[in-house]
Amino acid sequence: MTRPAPIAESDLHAFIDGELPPGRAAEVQAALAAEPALAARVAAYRADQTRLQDLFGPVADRPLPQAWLTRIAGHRAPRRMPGLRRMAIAAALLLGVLGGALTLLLPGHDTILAEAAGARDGSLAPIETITGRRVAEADTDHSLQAALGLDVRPPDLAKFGYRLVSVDFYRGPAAGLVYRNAQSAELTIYVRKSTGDARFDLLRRGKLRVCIWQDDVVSAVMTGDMSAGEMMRVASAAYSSLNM
Amino acid sequence: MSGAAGRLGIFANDLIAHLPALRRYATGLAGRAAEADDLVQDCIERALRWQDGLQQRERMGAWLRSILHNVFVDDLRRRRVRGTMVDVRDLEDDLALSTPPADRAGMRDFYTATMQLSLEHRQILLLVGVEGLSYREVAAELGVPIGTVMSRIARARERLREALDAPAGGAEIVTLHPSKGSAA
Repeated sequence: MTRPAPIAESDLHAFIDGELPPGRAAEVQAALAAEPALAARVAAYRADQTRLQDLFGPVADRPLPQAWLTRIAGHRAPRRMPGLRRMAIAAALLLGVLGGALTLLLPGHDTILAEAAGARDGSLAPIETITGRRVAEADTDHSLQAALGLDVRPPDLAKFGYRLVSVDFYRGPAAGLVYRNAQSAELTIYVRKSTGDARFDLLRRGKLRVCIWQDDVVSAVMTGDMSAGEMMRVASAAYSSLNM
Repeated sequence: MSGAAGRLGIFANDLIAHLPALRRYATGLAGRAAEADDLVQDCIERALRWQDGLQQRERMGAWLRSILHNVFVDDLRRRRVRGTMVDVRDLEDDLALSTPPADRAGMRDFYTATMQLSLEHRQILLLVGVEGLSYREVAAELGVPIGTVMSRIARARERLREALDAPAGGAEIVTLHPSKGSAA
């Protein structure tokens, strides 16, 4: 056994940030146990980091200004679309803005959100369910497309650790995709044809994050017990692979 | 894309997905929610205009933060002439709404200390501590060697400690971006 190298300033910070190889991290850990002053410094740095997260973290959970979404959703229009369609989309977006305003005024009438919550908690009964081994065996893509009348398929969320465990079909028509990770945490995606208004919202319901992602073709509501940041990554990946 | 009209493009979709985190980063840099939102809006405009400049889809977060940082630095340069004063009391409306009242005084001191840091130090604390980037990612994003990232994060944390240990005597007004001459 060689004596560990002395703990440098940069070791302390790399330790806090999880950047040390396991062996070196263990040496730092031992040094902290032996020197209370060093341990106190690390604790203070960590506390500061937590406060920084507490201070700015909640900003990412605020609903995005509708104007941003409208601007981004409308950006492609001038290049690719003829005038009439462009006007139709502008009108749809405008309706979306009005719809969004109405949603704010009438928080109890958020239909898609209510539907997705019902599907998640079981109060909305599915008319058919594909589950267990049949998820892999059945042609889930085809069933989903046929049921919804949409060119969508269940996103592969393996890189986030989530595996598709069941697909529920509801009247509407709508579908609920249920994913689970190794810790049995559940992520659900409720999908149906869009009501036509572009919309993007990230909400919090108790421990759950709910992300509503909607263009003028598809509405998707993703619900899971995860941080806002993780939800954003999952939602983005799910949305882009729903129709690819 | 399956050719369906009106679907968000991949770029637009990714851009929206990055906005909450970008807004959080902007608020950390600028210190105020309203100013941060202006920065993000400016950043959206530039991102849409320059979307061909994004080479790899996975790099969008870093790309957006770089644009935003540039917008912010340009703004600072313009405003430095008149100097920007921010009333700390306004910040409670901006940021501390989720903080229980008992913690507000502590949060205010912490906020003040954070805003006294140099932009470079605040930036690296945000990238590592809030945005959760690895040292390697920070090095790539800032275009500096990893050793620089390590020494900068160490200095930034130490400066923040010093600022917290020596609070500015309960002053209600802090200068967010001190103009020349008034810098401590």
